[in-house]
Amino acid sequence: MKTLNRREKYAPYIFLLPFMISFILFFAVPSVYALILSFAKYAGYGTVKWVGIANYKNILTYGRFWDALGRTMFYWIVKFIPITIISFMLAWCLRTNTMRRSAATKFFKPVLFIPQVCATTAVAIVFEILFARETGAINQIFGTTVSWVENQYTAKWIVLLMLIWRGIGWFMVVYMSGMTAISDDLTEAARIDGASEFQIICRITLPLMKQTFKFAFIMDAISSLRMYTEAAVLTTTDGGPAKQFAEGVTNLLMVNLNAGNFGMACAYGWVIFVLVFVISMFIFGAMRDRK
Amino acid sequence: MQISKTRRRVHKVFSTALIYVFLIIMAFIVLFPLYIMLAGSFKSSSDLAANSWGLPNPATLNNYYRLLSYNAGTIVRTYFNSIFITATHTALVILFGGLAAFAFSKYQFKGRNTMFIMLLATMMIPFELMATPLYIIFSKIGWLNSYQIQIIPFTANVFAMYMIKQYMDSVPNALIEAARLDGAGPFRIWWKIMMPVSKPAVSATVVLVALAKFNDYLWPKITVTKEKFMPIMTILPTLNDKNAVWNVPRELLLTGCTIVIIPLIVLFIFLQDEFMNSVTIGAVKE
Repeated sequence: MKTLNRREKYAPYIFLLPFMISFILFFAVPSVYALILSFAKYAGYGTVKWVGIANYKNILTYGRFWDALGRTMFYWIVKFIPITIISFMLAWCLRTNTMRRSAATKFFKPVLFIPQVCATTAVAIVFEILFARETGAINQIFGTTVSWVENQYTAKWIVLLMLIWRGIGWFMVVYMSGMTAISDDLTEAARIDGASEFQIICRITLPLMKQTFKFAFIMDAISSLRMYTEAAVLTTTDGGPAKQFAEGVTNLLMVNLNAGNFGMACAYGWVIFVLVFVISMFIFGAMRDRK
Repeated sequence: MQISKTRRRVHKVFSTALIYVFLIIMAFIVLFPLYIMLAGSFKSSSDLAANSWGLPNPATLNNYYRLLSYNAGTIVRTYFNSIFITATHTALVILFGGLAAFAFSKYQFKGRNTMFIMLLATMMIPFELMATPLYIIFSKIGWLNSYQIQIIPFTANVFAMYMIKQYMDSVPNALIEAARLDGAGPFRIWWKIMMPVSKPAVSATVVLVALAKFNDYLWPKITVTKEKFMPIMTILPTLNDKNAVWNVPRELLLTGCTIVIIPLIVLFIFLQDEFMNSVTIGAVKE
């Protein structure tokens, strides 16, 4: 009995050990290291030169950073509106009484979710080919020769389209689960009282799904602000200047990392963190339940 | 009365039809790029250029043969790299996360709540922040261009641990007590009771972690430059590098995408619930 007690006493620490070791080595230590390096100039060899806040200053006075930041916000906010409307409508359609238990729902729900499981890298390549200037399907169908991806005005819209295409299924499943939590009695009662479908959505479904919208908004913010692959892969074929037309802030971090500007890359890392942090706090604050 | 009944029925048929039209349009939009990809993989280069959205004419398996022999079998090798890296990384994440989840969920120890909240707070810190320092550290210890650099970092996945812990909280303590009285040790209880009982959360986490790892592009792009160790994802966009800009082998790229995406979709069809649960399991609890 005594050995058993001792075993139980030390068990939680032993259970935590592998997780914490990995956490400290690959998370805590590098985070601190990144903070220190962000105040230095370092190329990976030679000496570390302290430059104070020069790295941050460089970022904040760099026009390309503000362009990238603008696009990052664009991808996040401009995407959220159409994707929420479409996904909410889809979720609502699949939850109506006629559809709910039909075979059609068993077909449409997974089909609409498929883009979510597709690898971003591959999706970016397919979209690039889809929108290619002469040989792309979109241009051939409409008989146009627009260079969608290489153009500085349209490139970000292609990325946006890709994000919407990929995200619809995710949002739809989230919204459907939010709707499941709403009791059918409530909507049935309203229907018997003569409420129209539109009134039910506006007065019952939407207010009760507030938490769901909040969850979707925050989860999406965190991943959108860190978006990298879409812009990086979409413009690979051309390599050159087109790369800049779609990039977000993370892409700039990578540019510095690849160039060996480690101090700058770390500073970008912290800028991205502050961005995610401030925006998440803002959303939490703005959407907190007032009681 | 009769009229209103008919009208209601007409209304219902009409709205159902409208729902179907909407769903079919959306399904078409979702499937269209995938169709272009799949059809394109069976087209010859000139066929794809002239006939980008029709059916392949004539259909050919040539692209698949080309892909198989591309760069002395690189595709096959990197594909297996991807599977190996994904499987081992996911296993470690579940092992570490599941053990830690058990400790946080069912044991009382000093500093438990503080530690847990601190870990949750770190979820805000994006992985990109760690990329640079880890790159420097790993280059010093000679881990660049290896399997372990793709497997071992980020095995302390707080989100995965949190998802499993939330589920374990709902497992009754009586179950553990009963096993303890029967003489089962802590590890045995974890392996034989906690993990199997938490299967819904564990399997959703497996799907989430594995999918993210398989699809990851940024980390291997930073740390692996030798094709031998690359996952398929970093190879895919380079399929056109060996050609002139004028002659991008689009049909080959589409074939590469097909061999990556189609298995994922097939897997998804078999594991639909796990995939879709993985989205909402974090949403249910606030």
